[in-house]
Amino acid sequence: MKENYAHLISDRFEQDSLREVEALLDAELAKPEKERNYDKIEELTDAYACLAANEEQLEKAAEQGWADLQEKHPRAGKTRPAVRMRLMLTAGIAAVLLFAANAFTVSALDMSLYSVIVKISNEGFSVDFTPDPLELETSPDDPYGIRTACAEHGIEVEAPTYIPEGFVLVNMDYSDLTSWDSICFWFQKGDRTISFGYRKYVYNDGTTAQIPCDDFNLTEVDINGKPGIVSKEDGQYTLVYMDDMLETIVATTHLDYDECDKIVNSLK
Amino acid sequence: MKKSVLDTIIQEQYPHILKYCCKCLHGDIHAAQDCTQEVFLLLYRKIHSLDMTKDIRPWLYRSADRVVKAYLRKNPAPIETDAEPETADLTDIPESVFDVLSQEERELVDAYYSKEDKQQIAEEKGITLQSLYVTMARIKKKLRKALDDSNKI
Repeated sequence: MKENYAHLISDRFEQDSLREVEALLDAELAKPEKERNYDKIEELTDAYACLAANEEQLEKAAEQGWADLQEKHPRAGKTRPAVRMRLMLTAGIAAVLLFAANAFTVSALDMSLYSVIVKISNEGFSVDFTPDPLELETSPDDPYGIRTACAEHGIEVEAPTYIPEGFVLVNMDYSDLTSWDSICFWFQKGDRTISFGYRKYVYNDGTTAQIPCDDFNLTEVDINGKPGIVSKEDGQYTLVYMDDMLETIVATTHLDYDECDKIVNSLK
Repeated sequence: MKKSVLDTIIQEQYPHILKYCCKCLHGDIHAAQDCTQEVFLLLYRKIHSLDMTKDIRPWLYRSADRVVKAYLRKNPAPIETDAEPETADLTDIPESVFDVLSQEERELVDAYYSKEDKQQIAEEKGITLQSLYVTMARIKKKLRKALDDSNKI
């Protein structure tokens, strides 16, 4: 009985209890996300803070941190605008305009807007299948907005300052996975495409960059002091390079190789 | 000023994520503060791609793991060798020191040291696991104070 109190009074109590709590916490965190009990995780982290004797400090740090966050981020503390409602309204207005245009062409030309497009194309006009271009926030040192868009997701990248004229941004995709974040941008002009892909790894799991090529037409290049590999074949051009857990891939199709080199050399 | 739902969620979760980061960073509160700030700034940046009607905690803990790992890669933690603390010698301690504890507290101490499964003990006592550890820490504080007072006499 007395040995229990001896243990409790000594520093061994905190040390042993911290180990126990840590083990319980690790066991809970080792479970797949869907199976975790986050209420229990919160309980255990609170217990850990109490046993580590820094609970008061942490409470003060939390208050200060929240105040700093409100200062750093303008949206903090303010009601966010209803973006979804705005998009729905825009989509609704576009739909009304489209139907109105169709109604006009039916009455004026005795055919629907959609068949008008087909008629024109049959008479020899080319049909442009390029999707509507996307718009990103640009600046003088980020003329295509790629760096800014990546920064919004916490990824610092080297972005091109040159893309041949006529290419428009047609798609952008962001993925937030456990082992990495990735963001890609696709530019298109007719049947020519340029893509910029960035993958930020969380940790080095030994994954190596894969370069798709049938032969060994590879050259080593220098991208701002970092070694990269370029593959050129069959009208395709691919650049891959790594910089501190960030993988960058630039890929083009049906674009003159000299233009591709120019794009790659413009990465900053 | 009326707080948004988002701000309410963040204010609730901030202390938990801070404590979690502190635990992962071996008690370094300053580093934990930096990492926690980064997690929530990231949340604001990615808010448009998250479904805030669902539990945000999986995303928060996942992000906290990522941020802490990135921090530790740049600032590796020194290897600490914990000296094994000594157990107190109670042979000269008067029994009166233990009188400061209530019957309930004595029973809790007995239960705490009788079983390994602390979760089970907490459930039997009708308290949370956190409450169990916190209460034991308070009991310890009480005993230490009583011990110090008895040494002064």
